[in-house]
Amino acid sequence: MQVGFAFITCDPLKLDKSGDYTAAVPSVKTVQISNPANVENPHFILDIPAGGTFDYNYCYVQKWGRYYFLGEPTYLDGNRLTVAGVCDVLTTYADDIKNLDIIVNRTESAENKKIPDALQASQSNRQSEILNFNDSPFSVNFATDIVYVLTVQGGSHRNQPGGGENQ
Amino acid sequence: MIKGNFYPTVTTITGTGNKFTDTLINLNMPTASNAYWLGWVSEDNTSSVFNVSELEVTEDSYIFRRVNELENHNIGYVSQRDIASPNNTGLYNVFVYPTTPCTIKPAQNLAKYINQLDVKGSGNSVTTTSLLLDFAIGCKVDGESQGMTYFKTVGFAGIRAFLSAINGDTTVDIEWTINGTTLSKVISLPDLENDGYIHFDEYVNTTHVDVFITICSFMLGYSQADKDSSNTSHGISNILPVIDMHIGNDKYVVGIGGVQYRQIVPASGRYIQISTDYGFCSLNASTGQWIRPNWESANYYGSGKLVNGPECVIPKNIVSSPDGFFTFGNCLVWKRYVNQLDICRMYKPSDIYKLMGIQLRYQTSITGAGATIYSYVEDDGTNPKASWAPHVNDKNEFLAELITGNLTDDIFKSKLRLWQWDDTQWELNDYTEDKKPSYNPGDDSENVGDSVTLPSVFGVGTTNGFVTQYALRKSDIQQLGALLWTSFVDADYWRNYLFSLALDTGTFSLAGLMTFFVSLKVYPFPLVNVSGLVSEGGNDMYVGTGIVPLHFTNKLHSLTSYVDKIDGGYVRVWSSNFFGDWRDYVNTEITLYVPYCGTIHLNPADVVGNTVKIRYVIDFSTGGCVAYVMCVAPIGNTFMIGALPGQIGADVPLSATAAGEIAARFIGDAMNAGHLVGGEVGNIAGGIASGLSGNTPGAGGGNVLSGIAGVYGGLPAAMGADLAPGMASQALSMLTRSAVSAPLMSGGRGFASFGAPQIPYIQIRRGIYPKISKLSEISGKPSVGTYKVGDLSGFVSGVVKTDGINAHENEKAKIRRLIAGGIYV
Repeated sequence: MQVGFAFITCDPLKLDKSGDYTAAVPSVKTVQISNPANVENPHFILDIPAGGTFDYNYCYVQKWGRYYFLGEPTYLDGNRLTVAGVCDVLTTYADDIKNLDIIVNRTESAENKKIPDALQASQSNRQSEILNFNDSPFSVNFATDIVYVLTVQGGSHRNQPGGGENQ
Repeated sequence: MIKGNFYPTVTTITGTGNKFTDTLINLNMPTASNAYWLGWVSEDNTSSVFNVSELEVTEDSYIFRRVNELENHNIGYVSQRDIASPNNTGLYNVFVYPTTPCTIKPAQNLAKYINQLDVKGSGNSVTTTSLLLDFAIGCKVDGESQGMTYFKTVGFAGIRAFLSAINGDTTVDIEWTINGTTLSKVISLPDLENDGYIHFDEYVNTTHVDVFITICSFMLGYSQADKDSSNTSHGISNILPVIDMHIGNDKYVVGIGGVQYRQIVPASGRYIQISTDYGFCSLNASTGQWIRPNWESANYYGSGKLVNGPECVIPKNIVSSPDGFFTFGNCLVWKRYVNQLDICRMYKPSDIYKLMGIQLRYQTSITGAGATIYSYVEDDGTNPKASWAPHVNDKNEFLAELITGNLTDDIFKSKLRLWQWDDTQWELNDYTEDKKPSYNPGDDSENVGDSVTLPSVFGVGTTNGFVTQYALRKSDIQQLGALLWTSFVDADYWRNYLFSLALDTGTFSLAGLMTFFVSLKVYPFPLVNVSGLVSEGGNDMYVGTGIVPLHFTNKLHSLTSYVDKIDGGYVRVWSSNFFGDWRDYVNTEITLYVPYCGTIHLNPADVVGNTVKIRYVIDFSTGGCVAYVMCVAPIGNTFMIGALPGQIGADVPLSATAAGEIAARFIGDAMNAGHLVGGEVGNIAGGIASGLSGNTPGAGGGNVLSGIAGVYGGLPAAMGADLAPGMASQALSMLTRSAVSAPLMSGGRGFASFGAPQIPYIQIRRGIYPKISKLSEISGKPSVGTYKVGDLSGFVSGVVKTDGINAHENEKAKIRRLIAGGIYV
């Protein structure tokens, strides 16, 4: 059974973890998979050298072409231990996933600034701003400007100021 | 080829001095092959600990100039700093690039240098977490650092590009923080190499940052693994990235060593000495191709050519003058700006956004007056929307015809720049308010209202035979009162006038005269602004069918229409405080205060970024008005978004009481002056009493007459000597007492509204959003669209269809669930 062990530090949700683990110094002598084996949730039975430790959280099973997250090891006896694996479907199918069409909801790289961001909290207080108009027609000198309108009955049949004969 | 992990472990820097000469950097450098140092260090041959005693950083010396010297010690290249500056002493260009774990940890006084590194880390340690170092651009805003200073960044960017290239990567992630907002970009290295530059611009809140990244000299060295048979390294690793930044109005080029160059545009024929301060020229910028700098001075570093770009050519139009100066014809010149902190300045957003919002990018060289300048409008700095050769007017401004349509809302948030010729050189200035493009409402208010048809009542004249409207001044009103009150000394005049009234009306009473006065209203704006105002005519006012006119000193105006309009002004709903994103539309309330009409709520989606305009339509017969609120969108559409009724004309009382008082005074004065015979008085008095109360003639005469003294003596002394007694003085006293506030939320009512704010304004109440750092990195930002997962980067969530994956169904379901919740690509 060809199984490569590694320790990853990146988020489990990272699609392609190939750049985030180091090839571990071989410290596992033998690897078996418990029988019957579930390819998505297998149990590994490992023999490690005497006095050794098992410090891996990730592995690759060449036979199945799958990557696995590893849980806490359970030591059986001597230098034998068992550890549960859960298939990392993201990295296992990373190349296929990259080719998938996605109708995206959120992303870091293609933001649409006109869509409200529900994660952006707003404080309860408010900022207020005043934008004055460029000008106001209501700038007047009541003492000198023509500001009164006197409406009188009749009169229009006489000469109007500026208007000549009434119309 | 180096590929894989980058896990620095333990490296220490120790020392007690404040210079690197006193400091030892201990680097736990592996002896494995193809490990790099990017940094000027030398190796302790026995312990893989590098003694950096040769690495001298002082305030006035060059550092990091030795290249390719440590080839036998697994050291690649030391990043360089070419130009020393008092403000830039630091270690910011030291990079570590091992292939096995390594950490840099500063100690003691070196901490201050390491802090300047500011690579993502904590405390004084610098720990890289991926092969690609993050890079940030910072700046100074109002003297306060915003993120990193960008001269550091440049080195990072260049080295990142370098590292990425070594690794065969095709993209480089860059990130910078400005005004507290983090932005990121993915740069395509093939594009960078093929085009010679990468350009993008971004809005950080409302601050516009325009960035060119140009690799002027990009000669990759060989790794140690690529030694030839003679075991000689070919490493050159000469990186000289240049970032061209537009900050505010200024344009900067930033060199790797933290040296900034600001573009200057010398006039044709103007001599510039090629010295240490000048060194960067480019030709044919109209192609968008930046050409590598030609560093002629010893202070400048770099050679070779742009990758896949043209060979450097000394600009042909640089002509040496006899005294060693040069004139620059068709090229851009960059002058080294010595005080680096100063040139890191950012304009305040409010300074930047005093304009209209059209951005022009000038991709051609500018050679002086009369130059042909090609420009284009672009949306978000990517796609030209329109291009033209703008007209250069006789003032050497090219602003005419900038707005030629096809403008989009995106462009509206861009900015417009103005090149102006100041008789010696071109200068780049913001587009100022008084040079607005045509879509903005200008002085001609008619343009704004064209697409809103105002009511057809316009043109309904007052000359309908029933009434006449006179537009008067205060002095006219005073004189009117005087005519009715004190001019009675002219016995013949009044006798004739009163008899004429009797002839016209069949009665003979001043009460009858007063009934001809339908209303007197005062408006808070000069009526000369009304198109229906008839220019001044004669001095006579005709009332009723009066044969004898009331004669005034001033020539009088009248109105030709009951209804007319005035321009209420405009404002663009935009400022530096707008976010430039969804927050301007959501959780934002916008209200408009319209004097004499009240306030209304505006829909942010209608008005943000647009211009709001008010047009008052006024009914002069009642003083009522309607304020039409219109929105002027930048592409020329004008639409109405509100109509508010209000009361703009205030009544000056012409009550029966007032008329009676006036009449009484008139009669009293007449009697006192002895100009009327008793019979006439009796008739007048009886007529007044009849008109006021309906009493039989004569019965009330005595009461009216007896009240004269009281009324006359009760006039407020504060009115002043210029106020005539009588009707006008009563009216004006009302006005004098009217300076009280009016409720803002309702329409105006009479004089009280005169005390309310007289300038329309828009109030914006927006939410306050605390900054959430790394929000985009951890949870992405809202997005929409269909992509390939692999074309996105960072956090990605959405809906996928798992066709084509050779996996079990429950694995596919798991993939769908994980992507729906979000993964990191």
